[in-house]
Amino acid sequence: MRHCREAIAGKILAGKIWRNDNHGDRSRTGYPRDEQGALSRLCQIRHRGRMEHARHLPRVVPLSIAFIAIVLSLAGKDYAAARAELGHPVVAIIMLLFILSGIFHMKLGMQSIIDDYVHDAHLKEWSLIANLFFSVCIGWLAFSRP
Amino acid sequence: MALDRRIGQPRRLHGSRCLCQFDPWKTILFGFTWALFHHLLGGIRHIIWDTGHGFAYPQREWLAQATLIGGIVLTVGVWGIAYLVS
Repeated sequence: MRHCREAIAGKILAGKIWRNDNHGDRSRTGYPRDEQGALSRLCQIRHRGRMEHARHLPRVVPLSIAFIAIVLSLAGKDYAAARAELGHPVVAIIMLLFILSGIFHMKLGMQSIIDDYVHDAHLKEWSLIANLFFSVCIGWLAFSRP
Repeated sequence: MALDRRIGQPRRLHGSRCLCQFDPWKTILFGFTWALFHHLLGGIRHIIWDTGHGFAYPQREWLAQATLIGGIVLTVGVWGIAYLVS
């Protein structure tokens, strides 16, 4: 989160910690290590490596740019031309990947919010499950013809 | 049979105007695209931060300004291109 990132940034700038340092008995973000010097598995899973948030692997950015380019190229075309363009296999695959990565991006973002701001353990479990269910439902409905 | 004829026809909305020509809808859509572009540039800013750059004083100010101004520029630019092309 932002305050953690700023605190770490402040310490890096002040020369107190380095990004790739071992930091002794704590991880760089302050989580305690056990006797063998390993983070508990939950800390490893939730805070992978250097980053506070789950690593947003599907980079939606290039797909978004491609999506905007496709939509702009559709402007001003009549129905048959637009349909022909969207029927092109590369364009269709780009649109498909954009929708899927967008849904996954939505799921990851909501998961980060639930992870950070829902503290009741019971509610957190069920919220994460509901989040995944919602995302899968959206993905299913996006590709189903009514 | 009827379904075969319906597939391949452009959908017609009932009523004389379609939603896209409606000015309040266009305003909402403009605001929505602005929010999306801002979100996009904010995400790029976080990607830059993840590489470790941009934490020191002048750079983070430039990044913040670029996110805000770039969002508006991109929104106006994309809507302008769409308006000119159509």
